[in-house]
Amino acid sequence: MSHASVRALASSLALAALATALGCGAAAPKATIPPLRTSHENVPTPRERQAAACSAALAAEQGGLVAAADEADEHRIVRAVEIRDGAGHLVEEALVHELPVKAGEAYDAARGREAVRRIWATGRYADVAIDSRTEADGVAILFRVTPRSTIERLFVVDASDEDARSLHAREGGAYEPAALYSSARAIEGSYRDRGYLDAKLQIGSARIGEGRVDVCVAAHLGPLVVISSIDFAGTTHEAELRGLITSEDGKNAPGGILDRDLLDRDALLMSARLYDLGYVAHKLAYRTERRGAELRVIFDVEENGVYRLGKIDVQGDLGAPKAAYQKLLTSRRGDVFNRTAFAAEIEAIRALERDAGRKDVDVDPVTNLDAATHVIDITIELHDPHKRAPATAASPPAAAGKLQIADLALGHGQQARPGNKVSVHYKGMLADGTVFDSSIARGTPFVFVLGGKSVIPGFEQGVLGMRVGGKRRVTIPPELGYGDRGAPPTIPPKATLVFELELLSAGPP
Amino acid sequence: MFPLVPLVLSLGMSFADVQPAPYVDRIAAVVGERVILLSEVRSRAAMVARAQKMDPSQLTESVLHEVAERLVEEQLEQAEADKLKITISPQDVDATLEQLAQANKASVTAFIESAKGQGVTEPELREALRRQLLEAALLRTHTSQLQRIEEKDLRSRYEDLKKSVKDPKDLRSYDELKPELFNQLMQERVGQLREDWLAQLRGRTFVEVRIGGAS
Repeated sequence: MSHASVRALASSLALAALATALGCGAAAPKATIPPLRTSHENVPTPRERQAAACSAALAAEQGGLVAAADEADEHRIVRAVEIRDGAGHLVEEALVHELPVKAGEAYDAARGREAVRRIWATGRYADVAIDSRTEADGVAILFRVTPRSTIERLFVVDASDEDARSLHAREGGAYEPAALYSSARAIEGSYRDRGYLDAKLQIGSARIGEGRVDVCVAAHLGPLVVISSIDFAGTTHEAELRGLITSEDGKNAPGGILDRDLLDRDALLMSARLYDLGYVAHKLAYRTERRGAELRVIFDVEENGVYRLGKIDVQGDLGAPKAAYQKLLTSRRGDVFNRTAFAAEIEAIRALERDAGRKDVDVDPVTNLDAATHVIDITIELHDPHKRAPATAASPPAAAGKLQIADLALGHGQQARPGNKVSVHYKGMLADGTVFDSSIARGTPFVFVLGGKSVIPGFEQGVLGMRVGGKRRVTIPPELGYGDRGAPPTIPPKATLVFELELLSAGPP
Repeated sequence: MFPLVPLVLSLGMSFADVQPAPYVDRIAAVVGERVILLSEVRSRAAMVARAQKMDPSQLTESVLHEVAERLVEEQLEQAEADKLKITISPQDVDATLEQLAQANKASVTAFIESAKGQGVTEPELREALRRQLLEAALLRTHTSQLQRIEEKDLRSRYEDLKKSVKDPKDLRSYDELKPELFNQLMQERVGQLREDWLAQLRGRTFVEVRIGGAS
């Protein structure tokens, strides 16, 4: 196997998963199922054992690069824990007591790593390594540390005094490359915010003796990049959208510099305006084209037609005659859809419910867009959590052939519909309360496709219509369960089953 | 370096007297303020080796370097996910596991058993899937940068394919191949997006890999 393919092993699967997640139709990543190796193939030959011993010995010589003792194999008792510097002197004696590796306990590699991280976090060392020494009754753990070098001289070229002060580097101070790098990136960012889009701070260091370095930081600002023009493509409302661009201190205007945060906010305002003009399926994004020290900003708009209102209906747990709701809906069939106006109508319905003492009622508009006719149908669904049957203490046996459902808690998330992939936690019981299966006990939710007939019909019907976050008790008659034969030895013949379900997720497969 | 291993083996020498230090570890890479340890690199490399049925002797310094580079990428991704408050739940991992099992026409249990047969434990498998889902979730925040695939791109790819086969008559029609071409192009573009994005992440953070470079 080539070296590159080692990294590719992880990456290829990730890409396939991503492509699927992005909905580009890529096939699900495949993994092979090889036949199991027969046991004799797993037994190393004497020659293999000798080779492994040789590798381990060489690894020890090379600082343990190639292989080391298997972490799981040995847990020797730690007899001493020390931190020593390059000269072999004991250091950080107070810190030793705070490390997770302790004398008298069995050595654990994960704790060893944690100890290295603790020592590293002090920021005082350029390197930390674990070494060990076999002792008669255990092992001594040595953390070998290399102190950070001291900055002898610091050269800062073409940067302001303020920038130099912001750098994490001082003559006579410790050389901390990560912190220096981070401070340099922050300075670069501040230059870019001021229009120097190519700003770059280069860092160099040279070892000039034992534990001493010279550090050089050179700033290359590049040109001040200003906006040459802001253009719109694909819209019939250019003037209106252009009017929504805010320009503070000359930013986001020809001759000024680009402020992406400000422009992002303006793009949202433009999008909101297009929604109110009926462009429900519009797309709007901006891009920049750089030419030397000039930047052209282009807003690409796809309006995708004006949508008009079609059917508007109110359904669900209505607390008043339908006419009362319709009175609040001032939008009419054939009107151009206006999101702000429609949101105000929904708010009026919520206020009506609140005023009638039904403050817990959910008011959810469900829209259906027809791209061919540019018509938008809207159903306003009212959902009253108090209208559902409360849980019963003990579910009676299922009536012949009939499924019984008791909602223990109503969810407020996505509703499970046919064809959805759903994830549930469940506890399956016989009528006498004997638990025969539980995803909770296994610690793994059960995932299946509703309507895929991969589970007993009663289970599928029981989940159907639940909302994410909801809990149900479902009593399943044998006809919708395992029938006259049952599923020996767990489920007896003609068994009524009781499932307690919790819907964790529901969505497209 | 002199090839000691074959020589020593051919001489039939015994290593019974060699007493290596039982526990050794060191910093293999620095990513910002965090460190990756050599034992973590070796552990991942060993998993890859088991899954690929590689001879452990193939885990050379440059292979470990590549594995360390991947772990660096994962650290960068995790830091970015923490910043954006993106997490992957165990349920997300379960759903992907089920998808993988279905794609392989196996039950989840059989799939996990198969992975074990390949030297990948269930926790390792789940962690690998979690990392991949996390990367996908992070990349989704950059999909606006993905160039749209147009009809002309697909046509052009088909023409290239035509030129590469001996007899164009052997090639399936454009309409038949179109979905495959689309997937191929999308994979390439997503791959490029990933590379660019990782390069950006890397450019923002101090990274130092301390174990051998590629050979």
